[in-house]
Amino acid sequence: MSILNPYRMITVLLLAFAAISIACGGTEVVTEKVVQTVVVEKEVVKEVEKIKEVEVEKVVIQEKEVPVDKVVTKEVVTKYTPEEGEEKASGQAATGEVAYTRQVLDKSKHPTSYGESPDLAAKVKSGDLPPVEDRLPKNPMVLDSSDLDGVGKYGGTWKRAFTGPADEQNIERISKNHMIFWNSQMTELRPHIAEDFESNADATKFTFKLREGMKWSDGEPFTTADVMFWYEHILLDDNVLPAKPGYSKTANGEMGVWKAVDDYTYTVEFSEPYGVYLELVSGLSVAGHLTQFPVCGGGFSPKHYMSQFHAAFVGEEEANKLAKDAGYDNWGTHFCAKNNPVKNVDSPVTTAWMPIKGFNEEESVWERNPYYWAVDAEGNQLPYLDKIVLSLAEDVEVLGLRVVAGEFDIQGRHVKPDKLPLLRENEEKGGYRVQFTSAAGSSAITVYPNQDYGAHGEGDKEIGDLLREADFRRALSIGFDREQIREAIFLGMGRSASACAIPDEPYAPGPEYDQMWSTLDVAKANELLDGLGLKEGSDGFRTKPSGDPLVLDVIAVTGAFTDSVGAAELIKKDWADNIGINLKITPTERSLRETRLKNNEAMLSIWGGGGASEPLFLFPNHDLAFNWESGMGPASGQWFQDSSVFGPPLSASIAKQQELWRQGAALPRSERIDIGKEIRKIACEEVHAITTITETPAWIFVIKNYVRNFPTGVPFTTVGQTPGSFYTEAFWFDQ
Amino acid sequence: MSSESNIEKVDNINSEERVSVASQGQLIWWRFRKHKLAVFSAILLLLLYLTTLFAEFFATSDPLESEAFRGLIQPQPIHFFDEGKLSPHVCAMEGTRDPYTYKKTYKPNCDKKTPVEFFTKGYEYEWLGLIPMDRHLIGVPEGYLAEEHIFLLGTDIQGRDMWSRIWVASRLSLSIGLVGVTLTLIFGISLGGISGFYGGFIDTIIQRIIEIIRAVPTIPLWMALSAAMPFSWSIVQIYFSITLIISLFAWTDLARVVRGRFLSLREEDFVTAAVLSGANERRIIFRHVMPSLYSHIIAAVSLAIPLMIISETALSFLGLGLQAPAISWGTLLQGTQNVQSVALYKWLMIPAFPVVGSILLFNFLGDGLRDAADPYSD
Repeated sequence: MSILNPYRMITVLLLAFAAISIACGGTEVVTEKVVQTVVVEKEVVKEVEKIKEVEVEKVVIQEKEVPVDKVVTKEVVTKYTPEEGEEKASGQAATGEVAYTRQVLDKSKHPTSYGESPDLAAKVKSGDLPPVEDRLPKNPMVLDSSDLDGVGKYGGTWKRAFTGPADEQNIERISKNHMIFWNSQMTELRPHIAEDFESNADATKFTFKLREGMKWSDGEPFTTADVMFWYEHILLDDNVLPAKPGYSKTANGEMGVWKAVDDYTYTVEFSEPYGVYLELVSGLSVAGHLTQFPVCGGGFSPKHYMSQFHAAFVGEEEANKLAKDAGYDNWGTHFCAKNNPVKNVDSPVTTAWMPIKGFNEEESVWERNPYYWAVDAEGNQLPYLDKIVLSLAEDVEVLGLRVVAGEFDIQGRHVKPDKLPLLRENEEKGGYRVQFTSAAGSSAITVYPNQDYGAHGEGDKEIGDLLREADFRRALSIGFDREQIREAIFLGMGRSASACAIPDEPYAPGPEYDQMWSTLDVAKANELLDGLGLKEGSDGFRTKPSGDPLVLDVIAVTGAFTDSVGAAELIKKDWADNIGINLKITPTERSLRETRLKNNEAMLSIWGGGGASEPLFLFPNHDLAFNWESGMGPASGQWFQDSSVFGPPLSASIAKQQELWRQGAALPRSERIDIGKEIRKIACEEVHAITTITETPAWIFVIKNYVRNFPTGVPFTTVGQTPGSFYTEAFWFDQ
Repeated sequence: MSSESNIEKVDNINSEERVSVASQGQLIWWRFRKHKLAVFSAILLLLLYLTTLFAEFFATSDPLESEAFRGLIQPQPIHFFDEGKLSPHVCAMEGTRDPYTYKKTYKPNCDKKTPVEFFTKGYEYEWLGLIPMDRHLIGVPEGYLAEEHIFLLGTDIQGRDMWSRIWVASRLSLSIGLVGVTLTLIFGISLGGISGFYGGFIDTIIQRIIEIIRAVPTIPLWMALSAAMPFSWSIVQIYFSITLIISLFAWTDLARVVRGRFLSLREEDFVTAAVLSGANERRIIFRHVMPSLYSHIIAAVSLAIPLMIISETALSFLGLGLQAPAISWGTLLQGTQNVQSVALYKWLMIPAFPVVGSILLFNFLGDGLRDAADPYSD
């Protein structure tokens, strides 16, 4: 939508005011243009203050004690505001203003009468379905897209591609069923399946209120029985989940206790503070019944359907017999397979579309869920789109070709940014546009020196000791020219920066860390290496302090999202020319990288992240030694999760980060900001990760011109399961 | 093959007599000469192997020298004449990035010319890893850098010169499997021969071994081996040793055929005659039986060499064989497995031509040799 047209602008402003007064956290939608108007600014502040006093207590409980004024300023600070003009613009050129679909939180503004799609209306008429009022819960989720294209038209099939049965995330990311969820900007928590949620003051007890009258896609009521079924018979049952997922435990490993208060209220209680819990359950970890990401779904499960496969309900013998008949070893794995709607289309769901054909087929088809619990601002039941049809494209290049040909309506997943010139050149022919999502702070090519290397007898201890030297890592980091990578790998977009360049994250330590140890300085790098006693050997490369040849090995994944082998070649050349470091590149297949890291065999490894846009306490895999995936400490990361494996880190700075993280995870958001900053500071001062180029549009979407209500200027995050965070049920086609 | 004098000697006799007195070698040579395409292929292949031996001499730039700001330049022609005078030069390539599509486009600017010289000094290299040299066929005068000026076949995404890379890649791709093929031949012929000639207990043992080996699937073996090779080895070393190990598995086909031929040939009269004349086993095998197998062995070799080139290319293309820092036809082509190379950067696919070309040449040559090696057929 064009905001430049003055007439349109007034309309937009009016709509924006309406929306702001409806949604309490309204400032987040203010576009740059709006802020420039003095009158508008005043209006906004006034509105927010008025509503805040009522709403804040109820919705964002952690911020209760913070004075209202302060909340407003803080929100403005955490909001993503491009500061550096051109540099930033390169990655954001197409995103322009910030606009997205928001939830209407003020119940007095909710619509009172409901509409539905013509095909469902016909079914109601023929008696196949109950009327829309009976299908919706008493208080449905209300989505307002007036910042975008507003109330839409029903109809249309969303054509998309997936790469095979393993690509479950494809549908999980666009069809959400979280208990609570983020807004599109990832700044505020919002109700989702739960109508309301709150935390007690010391963050040990969390209360969730479900939507009364909400139903599964087969028409059965959705109640706390489904939550308790999941808790008692999935989470606690060792046959189903032998290893308990991290989100059910505090940072110190204390399991939570789920309790149903009544049919629509339940609580989760921990024995110690768990301040990060609400944010955690809004993210990737417990993303709901449809999302199988950890194991066997999260948070709730359809008791009326799933109990027929569970030993506690039909007896172990019968459950095992069912499993054997279906070809499974035991009833636990069979149960989990049945609990996965992406492959078992018989399972009811609570998502906007329900499965008709699953991911184990050539084409996966999803149809409108007639019981979906959300409506638009005028009360029309969502989703607008009739269907999602995903066609199989096993090869990413074939998929790319079909994207260029304009075969898909909205496709971001599996579209590599190196296709950008081709995509842009064919925009008109393909009838689509290319849109960037800001992935600020995420460096898609990051080299992780493994500070656990050789610590547990898996590799050369002498090289490990070098990797544990901060000066060695610093020299590596300033020993190559990031501009080469920017030009060759990122099409000249983005900018070089340290892992602390995360302007939109509350834990960003400040501008003085932005370029720390991340600009080319050959003299300084050589000085640091000389200081470590690494002398030049006969072949022109530096040797180990003992005099043996020093060869560093880097694991670069082939066929990943960005060309890490290409980047490694550029780094190799610079290290050889500038600082006499001999780098050997080991192109590695993705799953082999996993094995190497899990066994602590990786010396250096390349992966994305390192100052990612994912909040520090929700997805810290690449920010500190958190688990096997943390390249800077895969062994101590695994030890952090389970103290029976490997051992504590030898590196003091890694140990310090881990300790700080444990402290922070227990605290509510406002209190853990300083701790978060401290973790980031250590990462950048000690160069735990050698980042390259940040603020690239690492994620691009190819959108057909008739697609409406697609947000602009919002970030791409793993935690927010983008594009799920765009509220896909409000998408519609203007055909 | 035969010497000139031999041919002259028999030229005086009429053609029918000539054939009846000619040695087998002469017959083969005559027959081969008639196959014009095969002769032509043989000459070209010889040239190809000779020139790739001097790959760095033909290269203009250091094939590893990257500069991202010179990435994806299209092929640049050499202009031989400047205003009517012979003065070889290239025009400067100036690139701009489109702010909307992010595509970088280069335009030749012939106001900025760089003279081109032949047999000139360029980057330093060690010929065959032994003799330090810096001569190149094509280069720029002193004071210029070839890496900055000459892009005969364009550059890849990291700004490395495709012309130079193709030369260096050709040497590796054409030669890396030769040792493996030779080993296959030696194993195949000797084990197959022993098995067929002696028969009995030895035959049974060797045949059972062959059956066991044939049951081992190659691709999973390949994957396992590439993971199992010593970590400190370079990619080329790993690949080379895998081809050697694979050749220990690949000889069975040839061995089976050789055994079969031996089984039938040892019953022939001329073998019996040789045995009765007191010829020893070695003489019988190599003098009497082997020549009847030449055509088959040549056919096997003429198939095995192109197969080895193709498998290097194919395995590298799949990411199993040679990989990126190594330069081979397969790795060069691996970089083009994307839509944008086909649509926008077509010159990146040039390495496909030497692959197709050399395979065809080998097949023509093999064709001619196979016909020639069995000169008594007609």
